Amino acid sequence: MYPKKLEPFLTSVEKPGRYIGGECNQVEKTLPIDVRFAFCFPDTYEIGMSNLGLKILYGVLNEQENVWCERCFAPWPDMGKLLKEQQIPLYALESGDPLIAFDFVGFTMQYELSYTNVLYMLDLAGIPYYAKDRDDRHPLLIAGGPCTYNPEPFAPFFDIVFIGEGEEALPRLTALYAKCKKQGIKKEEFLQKTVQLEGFYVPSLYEAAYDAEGHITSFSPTCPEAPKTVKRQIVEDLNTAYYPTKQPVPFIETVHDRVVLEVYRGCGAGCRFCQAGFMFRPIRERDHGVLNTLAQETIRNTGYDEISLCSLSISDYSQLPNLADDLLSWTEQDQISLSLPSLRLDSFSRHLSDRVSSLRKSGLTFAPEAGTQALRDRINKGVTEEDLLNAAMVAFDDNRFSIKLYFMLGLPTETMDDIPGIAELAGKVVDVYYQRPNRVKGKSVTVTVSVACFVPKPFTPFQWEGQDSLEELESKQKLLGSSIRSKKISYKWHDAKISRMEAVLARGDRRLAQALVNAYEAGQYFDGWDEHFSYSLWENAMTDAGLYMDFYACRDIPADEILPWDFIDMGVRRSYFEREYQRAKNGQLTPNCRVKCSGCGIQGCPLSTKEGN
Amino acid sequence: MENTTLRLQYTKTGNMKFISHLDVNRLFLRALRRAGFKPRYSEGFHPHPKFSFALPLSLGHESICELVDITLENAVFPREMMDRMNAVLPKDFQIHACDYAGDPLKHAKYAQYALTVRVKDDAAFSLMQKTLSGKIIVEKKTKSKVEKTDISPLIASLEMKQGEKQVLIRAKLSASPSSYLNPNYLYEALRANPDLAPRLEECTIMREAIYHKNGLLLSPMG
Repeated sequence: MYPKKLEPFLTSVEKPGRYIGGECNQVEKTLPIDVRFAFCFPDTYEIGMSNLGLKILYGVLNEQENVWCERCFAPWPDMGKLLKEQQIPLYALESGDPLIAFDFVGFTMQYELSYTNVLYMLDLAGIPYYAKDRDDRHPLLIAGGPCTYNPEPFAPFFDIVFIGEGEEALPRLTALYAKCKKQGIKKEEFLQKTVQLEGFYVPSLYEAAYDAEGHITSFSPTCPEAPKTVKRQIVEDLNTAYYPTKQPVPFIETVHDRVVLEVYRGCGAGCRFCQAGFMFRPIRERDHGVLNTLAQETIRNTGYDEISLCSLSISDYSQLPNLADDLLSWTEQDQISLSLPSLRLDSFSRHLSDRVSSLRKSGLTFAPEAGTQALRDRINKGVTEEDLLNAAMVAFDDNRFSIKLYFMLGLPTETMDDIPGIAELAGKVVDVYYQRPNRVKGKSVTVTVSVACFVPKPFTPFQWEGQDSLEELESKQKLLGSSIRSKKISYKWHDAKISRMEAVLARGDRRLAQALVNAYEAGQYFDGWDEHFSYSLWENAMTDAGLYMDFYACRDIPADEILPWDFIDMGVRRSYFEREYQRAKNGQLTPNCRVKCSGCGIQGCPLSTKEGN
Repeated sequence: MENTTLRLQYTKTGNMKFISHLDVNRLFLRALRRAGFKPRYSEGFHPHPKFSFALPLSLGHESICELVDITLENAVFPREMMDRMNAVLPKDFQIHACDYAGDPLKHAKYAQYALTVRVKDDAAFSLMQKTLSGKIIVEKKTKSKVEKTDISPLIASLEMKQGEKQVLIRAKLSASPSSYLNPNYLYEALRANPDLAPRLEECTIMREAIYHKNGLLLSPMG
């Protein structure tokens, strides 16, 4: 639904299907209702509707009888402009009601460069940015999602930040709210009660102090109700956890337009740069039987013709052969195709590849991350050149002629000598192709080398490590470009300036909120889209807030310094990250959790051993 | 069991006018699966279900007479198809007739549209009459250039009625593949008149009927 006033203008914007709602399985409820929750995704409809987390929480909240959760996405700039011109406040898709009419406006923080889109959406909704500028008449603003593992850069905008997995915890918040609303309890008191719920951080109840150079000297609660540390919440048993079998089905094509089946959460690989690898611990698997039932129900309710198995490293799933058998027993005859993204190349097997390619044959993607074995060992990417070349051979035998390789530049301990290694490795993959005696004549191979820049992320062993300077990153990109000689290799690289902004925001403290406001007001939003990103605007935004990029992005942070995210207890111990950082410098590998527990300290992990801890 | 090809007539109104022709294709595929029907897939490298539409509808236009042929893998009664599909389709996108398909759906010749033009004053009506009589020159964009063409030969019939701050235009336009006239051009022609343009507010377009080459109404029964 959309406001009637919008009707004559909708055909003038690109893809009006983004703004109409009304999809199959959309949830509608009757008003009045105790709690109205607007779930906002600060990116386009096509990206937001591809997000499994959104569908889970939408479903969980709407399962509560007294809650109506609706959706809202960032309008593309043409629509944003139209809404402003016509003075139509940003609305939720189910009811068409303006966000300002809701009890909660919740944002999911998925990546650093979407932070300014939160301000964009608040601006369009007519809601003041800062929590301190809002009162009881305004909706409560809450943030969640992966970026809340360092919520500080956007903390001043929010009344509440939820840390962890929301399936079980969010209904506790809406129940508390409904109770308080009935009793006429005001915002201030409600927030004091909220902060006592585990996992709910109320930024206004904490205070940070800084020294003259900008380092944090203290970070502590300002009232007795607020705990010193905020404990990340997790779902213990995925077999009983909510899964959205009746999810809204978009009319327009989205990025992941299919059933996304979350096979397990967590990852035991322990790649030292990877935030997701630590953030989603402990490893929790869903049983293959449960997954099969969920898949069947979801296909029946949505009408999708594709299922994608999702997890950080699908081939590590212990019941993968059983799951494949279960699914293939009915998907093939029903013309349902299966896909397996994010294969780690060390466990790729021909058997698996054969079985899932029943309908669609796509290229293969591998992520060696670094070009030399020494560097791969230091980042704990337990993959060898032999693994890659074997996997490539299997792929070529399987008539897959395009291989995509992901690497990172600027990894900790990297030297200029590591860079040509990337070109050499890609060259060896090309050689494997031409050395095969049985190759099909006339078919060519494409090896795509896609190179990102290392971004230090909170809650990883590399959180203390400074990012390379822009000049270093750009010269490394050039060096790699000149090292690649084969015409069969296509080379793509990320804009180093974008990576630098990611690092600033990933490691930032709450003073950055002002820089975000400055950047938005100067015209920065949809920053994650190259065509909208302007580094010089960001530089000005930082300077005007009295802040320096280098301080956040490039600095090696001493181990005894207070980190902006230290108040969060995410489960893995700080001492474990310190140890892993040291092991990286020594070039020592740490085994996959499935091989041997290394004692990261996470609770409730089925792989955890006394010995390890 | 035998394949069945059914011809469905459906509405696309309200919100649903904002989804594209490709979206409609996807909507049908998913609705069929939700309703428990198995569409027949094409042979070949990328098997896909084959739906055959009488006449694509522009994004933004409503219709009460869309036609599609759908082939299912097994025998299904038209009434059952209609009921089960309507249960899983949006309320602004409903099937109102269904029968076994006869000749292939390739012979659309004319389509009739109702254009409701909201106007600012009564003077607009006579200006509109004048603009839409005789030669009607519009600018048609092709890939390489903008061309001025007379669309009047593509108009089979056209009548106008004055209402309260609005004018209803009912027009039967050529819809054969070689000389398809999008009804948007009628409104374009009105807006191209400098005396008239400031008096126009907006225009909604509804497709009301699709006609055969022999002049008969195209419907599941015909």
